[in-house]
Amino acid sequence: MANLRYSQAEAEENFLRSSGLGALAVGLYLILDVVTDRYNIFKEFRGNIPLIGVIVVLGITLFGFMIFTFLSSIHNGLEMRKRSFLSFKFEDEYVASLENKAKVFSYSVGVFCLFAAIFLTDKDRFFAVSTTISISDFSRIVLSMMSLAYALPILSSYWKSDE
Amino acid sequence: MSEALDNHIAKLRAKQKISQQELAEAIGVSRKTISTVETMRFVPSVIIALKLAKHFDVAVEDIFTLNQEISS
Repeated sequence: MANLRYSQAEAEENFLRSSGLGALAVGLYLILDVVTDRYNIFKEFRGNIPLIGVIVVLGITLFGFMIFTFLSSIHNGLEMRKRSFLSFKFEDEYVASLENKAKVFSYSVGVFCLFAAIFLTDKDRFFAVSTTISISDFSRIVLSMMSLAYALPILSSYWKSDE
Repeated sequence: MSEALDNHIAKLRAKQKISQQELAEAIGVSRKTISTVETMRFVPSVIIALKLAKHFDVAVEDIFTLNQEISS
C-alpha cells in the first residue's frame, strides 16, 4: 500500500470539502457569467469603471478559486484510494451520507428549476412569462443552481461545530 | 411515537481520556463521523457500532440505547 499522508477517512473528508468549495465557485462564476452576458454589462456600463472593475475582479477571483479548488480536489483525491476517487464512492460513512445528501439536494433543485421553467413559460397558461432566454443562458442558470445546491449541505455541515 | 438513538460515546471517551480524533483513528473513520454520531446528528451503521463496542470493550447496547419519544 502506498505511504499516505492522511488516513482514507481524512482524505475523503478533505476531498469532499474541496469539491464543495469547487461547486460553490462554479455556481457563483456561472451566475456572474449569465448576469454580465444577459445584461450586456460590459457594453451598457462601459463608462462605469468602478462597476466594471468590481465585476472583472470578482470574475477573476472566482475563476482563480475554481482552478484552485479543482487542483485541491485532485491533490486530496490522490491521497484517497483510486477506486473511491474515480467513482466518488466514499468508505467513510458520514462523508458518503453527506455526499449523497448533496447529490439528492442538487438533483431536486435541478428538477425544480426545470419544472418551474415549464410551468412559467407554458404559452397556454394565463400567467405565462414571455422570455427570450437562450438555451446556453438557461443551462448556465440551472447548472449554477445545481452547483450551489450541491455545495450547500457539504459546506454547512463543515461549518457547524459538533464538539 | 418516535424513536431516538441515544449514546454514551462521550462518557466512554472521557473514561479512556481520548479525543474524538484519536477514537476516529482507532476505528478508521473520520473525526466528523465520531462527532456527528456523538451529537446524534448521524446514525451509524452496525459496522461502526460494533467497532466502537470492540474498542471500548463493552456491548453495543452499553453504547447505544433506544429512547422512545412521544411526538405531538
